[in-house]
Amino acid sequence: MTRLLYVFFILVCINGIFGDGLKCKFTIDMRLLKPADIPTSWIDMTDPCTKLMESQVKTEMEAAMKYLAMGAHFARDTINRPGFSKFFFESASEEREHAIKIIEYLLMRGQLTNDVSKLLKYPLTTNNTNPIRQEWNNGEEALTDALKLEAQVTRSIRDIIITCETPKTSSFNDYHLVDYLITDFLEEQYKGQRDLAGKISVLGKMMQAHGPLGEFLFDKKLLSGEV
Amino acid sequence: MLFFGVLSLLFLAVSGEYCYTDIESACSTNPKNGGLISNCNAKYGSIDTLQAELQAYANANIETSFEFLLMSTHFGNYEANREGFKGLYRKLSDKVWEEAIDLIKYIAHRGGRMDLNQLPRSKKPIKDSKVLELTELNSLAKALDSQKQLAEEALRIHAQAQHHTKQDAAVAHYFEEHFMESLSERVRRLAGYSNDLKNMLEERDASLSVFLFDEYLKNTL
Ligand SMILES: [Fe+2]
Ligand SMILES: [Fe+2]
Repeated sequence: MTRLLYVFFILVCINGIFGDGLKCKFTIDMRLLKPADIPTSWIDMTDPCTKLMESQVKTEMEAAMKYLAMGAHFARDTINRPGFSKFFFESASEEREHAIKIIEYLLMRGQLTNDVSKLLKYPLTTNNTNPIRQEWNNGEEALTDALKLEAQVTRSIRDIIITCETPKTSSFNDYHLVDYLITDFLEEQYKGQRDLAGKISVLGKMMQAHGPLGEFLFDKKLLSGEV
Repeated sequence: MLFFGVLSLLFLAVSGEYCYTDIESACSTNPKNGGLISNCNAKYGSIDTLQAELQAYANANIETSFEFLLMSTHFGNYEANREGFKGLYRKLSDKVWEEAIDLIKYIAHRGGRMDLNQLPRSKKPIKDSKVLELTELNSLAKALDSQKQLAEEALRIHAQAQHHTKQDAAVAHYFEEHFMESLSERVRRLAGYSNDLKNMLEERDASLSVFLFDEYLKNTL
């Protein structure tokens, strides 16, 4: 098979030489186009830190998928909770933005120069072993799930901070990355978690006394952004 | 009592799948059916037969959105450093992501349910999924192929919706409005880019051609 391809390649080249002269040349050129000679001394992230940041891309995208599932569930005709659905779909796209922010940061620090395909592989979770949950009994249950999810993400960001501040392999403290995660990510995590906890509290009380009526009212408030 | 039971069973059998009958029996003083109103849904047409296709297509869009994001990432690293290519693929990723969400909403709109665990129908044609060594021109070719594949898939589902024994013009219409135009536009644009860049690479200095083309892409974003 490879030999066949090789012969084919030569034929294409011959055709290139006698026919459209440069057709083959540019393929070779592009292959040989070496990257410029750039010093690498400015690339100072430590390996364990980089690895955790890379896996955070996947963590954020997994969160996005979980929120997608929630958005889809509450959009159903027999569930009919447009407020919840809107809230979760928006959360899904926010989580995707977080994944992109991490990528942007890594690019800024000179990372992701080879094999970016390992960052995200579709599907993120293998369907058989770990299918995405796609049904909830009510809005309160989904919000509770969301809060647990956010708490997990917060923990994973904290782990990155710890590793990047004091990596086991060296004494390099990555001040800038740590500061970025604290001011941009942790800030949003804690605010988001407080927001979810508050929502669960209000909804929980309303549902305790009024069940579906409480959920119905809360949903409309969510839809109009009043809670 | 037994008589009433038999009567209502008969009634149900005759009445078929109606929400009204469900409600009548569920909310009567003597609720039957266990109070279930399973016919009070938004389903009509052939959404049931098309649902799996729609789910798979939504997931194919999510998969493609990931791919474009990775391509964008590749051109964003300091060695490749092509702002234009990076931006082009990022925009494509965003668009395809939004289209996936919109389709998920449409499935729910028609009384269906999304299944994120349903795998996309078609395998990616590019055996080597590594984005690693994609040159600028290769990436355009890959992007073009992948958008074409989504377009073909959309046409197939559209045809199925139209020629199904129980036609569903609503699904067909949704595909026309949300996928046909945007996909054909993107396919055409990517084909144009591929040809432009390929022709420019026949210059002596390929690096300058790519630089200029990247700058052009950046300005069109
Ligand atoms: Fe996040
Ligand atoms: Fe979050």
